[in-house]
Amino acid sequence: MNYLEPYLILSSILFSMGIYAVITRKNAVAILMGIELILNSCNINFVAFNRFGNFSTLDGHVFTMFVIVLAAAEAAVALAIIINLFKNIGTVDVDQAKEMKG
Amino acid sequence: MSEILQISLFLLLPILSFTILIFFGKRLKEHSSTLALILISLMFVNAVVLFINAISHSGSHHHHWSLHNTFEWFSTGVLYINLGYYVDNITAIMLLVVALIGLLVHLYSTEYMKGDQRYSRYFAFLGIFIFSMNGIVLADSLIMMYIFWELVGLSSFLLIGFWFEKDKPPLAANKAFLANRVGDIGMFIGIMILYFNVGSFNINEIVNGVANMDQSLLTIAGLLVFMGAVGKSAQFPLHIWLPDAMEGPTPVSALIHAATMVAAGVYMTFRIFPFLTPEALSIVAIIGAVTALMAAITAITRNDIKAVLAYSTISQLGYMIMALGVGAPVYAFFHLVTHAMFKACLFLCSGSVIHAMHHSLHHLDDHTTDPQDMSNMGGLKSKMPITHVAMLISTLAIAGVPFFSGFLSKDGILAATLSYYHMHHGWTVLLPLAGFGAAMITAFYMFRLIFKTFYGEPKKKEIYDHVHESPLPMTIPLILLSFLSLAFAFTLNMNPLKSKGWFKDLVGHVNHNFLDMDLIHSGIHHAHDQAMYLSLLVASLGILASILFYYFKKLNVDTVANIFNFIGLYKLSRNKFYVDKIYNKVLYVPFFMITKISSFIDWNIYDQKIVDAWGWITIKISKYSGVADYSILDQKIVDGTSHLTQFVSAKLRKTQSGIIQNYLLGVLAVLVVFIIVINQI
Repeated sequence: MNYLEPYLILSSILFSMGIYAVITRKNAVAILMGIELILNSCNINFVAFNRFGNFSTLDGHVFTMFVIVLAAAEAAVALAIIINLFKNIGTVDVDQAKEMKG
Repeated sequence: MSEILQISLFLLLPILSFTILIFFGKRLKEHSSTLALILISLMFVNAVVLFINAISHSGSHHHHWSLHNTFEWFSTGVLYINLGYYVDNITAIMLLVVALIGLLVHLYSTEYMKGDQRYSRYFAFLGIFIFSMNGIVLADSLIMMYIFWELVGLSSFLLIGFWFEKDKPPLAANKAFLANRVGDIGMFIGIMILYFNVGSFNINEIVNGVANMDQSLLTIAGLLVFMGAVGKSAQFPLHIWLPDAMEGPTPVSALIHAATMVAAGVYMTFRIFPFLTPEALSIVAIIGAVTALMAAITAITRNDIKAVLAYSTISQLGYMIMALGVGAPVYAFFHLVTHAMFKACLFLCSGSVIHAMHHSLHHLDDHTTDPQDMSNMGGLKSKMPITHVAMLISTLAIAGVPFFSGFLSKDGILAATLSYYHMHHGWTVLLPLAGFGAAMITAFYMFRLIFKTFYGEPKKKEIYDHVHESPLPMTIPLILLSFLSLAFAFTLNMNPLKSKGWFKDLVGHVNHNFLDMDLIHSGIHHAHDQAMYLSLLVASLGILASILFYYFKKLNVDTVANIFNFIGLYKLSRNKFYVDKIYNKVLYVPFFMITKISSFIDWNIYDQKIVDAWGWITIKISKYSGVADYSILDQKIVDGTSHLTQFVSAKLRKTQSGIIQNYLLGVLAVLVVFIIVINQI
């Protein structure tokens, strides 16, 4: 496969799925999983552009490594937040957490 | 150098006493009088040394012994103000008098003021008084004299008002200060006129420098400077403060208001005498004569023992001033010294009587009877023998009886007035008339005082029973002063017809710029015998009348009073010649009217109409501006903004659902819009 487009299509499908999951899911863990999907779609984009974009360096790869590390850290933090949320309101349903309602 | 030190000790010792007692008096308590006594004794010794020095130098008749020194005080451009001292025989005598009376009064006060709550402050004030008095005596320039002049005024004020918690003393102190103020203003203007015409404050330089001055201006300047003496020496019409000044402690009356401070006016006039023009001198003589006679008449009807002595002091000061006016300054100064002795003695005797009366009343627990009122006394002779004898001697002295000091000096003054009449004729006959008249009245009222106090039956038996002779510190000064009231103290010549003595030799010859002093001197010499017989006559008449009235009671006082009342004299005397009332009518009443009018203008017109009108206008303006502020700016604009904000936020708050996914949806929508917009560009 020597074309850029299939990668971008895959990436956008993954992104859309991630967004969809983040917006529609009520479960906080599921939202977190949506975020992981979005991050991975980004990773695919980075690598794809690095491969087809006439770059002499491996910037896209390095960025991807950073994003994976960041995603791991973010997942750890987010899970800690979710546990605290559960402890405070007894559920992981994000609709119940509307303290910020104006 | 030692000379300067010796002279400055006269100022340093008393001011040291003042400083120590003011700052450490509370701690020294009753020792403060000891300290003051030691310092004043040192000063007295110093005065004696100076006096002996003066005597030893006055061998030759025409040689004038003097010490003088001048220091620059400050200078600004062409103006040089110098301070300095000038000491001659007269200064030496005056310093000795001040130191002697000061010492005796200090001694007397240790007992008299015992138990007073401000014991140490009393001695501190005496210290500052003696300091300022010595300053006047030593001063070589009018400006320095003026400075100390004001300082004695201050110390007099402090001592008159010493018992300031009572009602009268503070008022009396104020009155004394204000009356003196009037005289001092004149004195200052006079000094300034002399300075701008002669260019110096130094008295000797002024005497030498007035030759070129316009005569009428010099007369005015001389009289203005003399005004200071009118105030300080309680001459008519400024004499009103001295009787009130008797509110101070009696030793103070003896020291300040009889012997020294009031004599400062005479001393000052003596110093400026050489350049007083004949016109000025005649006015001086009239003022002295009026004062002498008027005060003597007033003294007859006083019942307060100290008031009699106060008016007597005014009368005697009038004599001195009159003597200066008729060109006999030597006799004026002589009378000043003899008067200082016998009047201090009289005052201290009266203090002794008051002290005894006060203790007796205190013993009886009587706080309403006046211890100074003679109508409560009588028959004290046997109870207070020392006081009685001392007072009798000094009374004989003031009455002008031969062999007593007052005779010598008063005689000289009367001779001078008589000779003045011989030279000028006309109205000047009033001067010897006033002089002899006052001499007779003086003899009369002084013996009236003696008889009422020491003779006859006691008026109040229970008070009399508790009266005792005063203790030794009070009687020693009386004995000493009564000894000095004898003629022997001033002349060793036993013949009363010839009044030569060491004193007149020491004072010597006084020069005058315009008058022929030799002529006056020989005139006095010629009038002397005549004056002496006349004065003997009037004195014995006065004493005789007094004996008839008050000792044998042959004549009824009330009948005679009624006769005198017929010509208005008794009433005049009783009401002190209405001087206080005239001042009241002429000065106080118009003054209060002016203040009332100005207060009316200030309050009813200015305050109520103009100032309050501004207030009213301000209220109206602020009402409208308040309306504008509140209903337009505040209600519409400020509140409008907040209403708008509230309205918008009420609409906007609905977007804040609190559900994160809604927000995310919004973010996504905005992102999509952004991308579309960016693509379009």
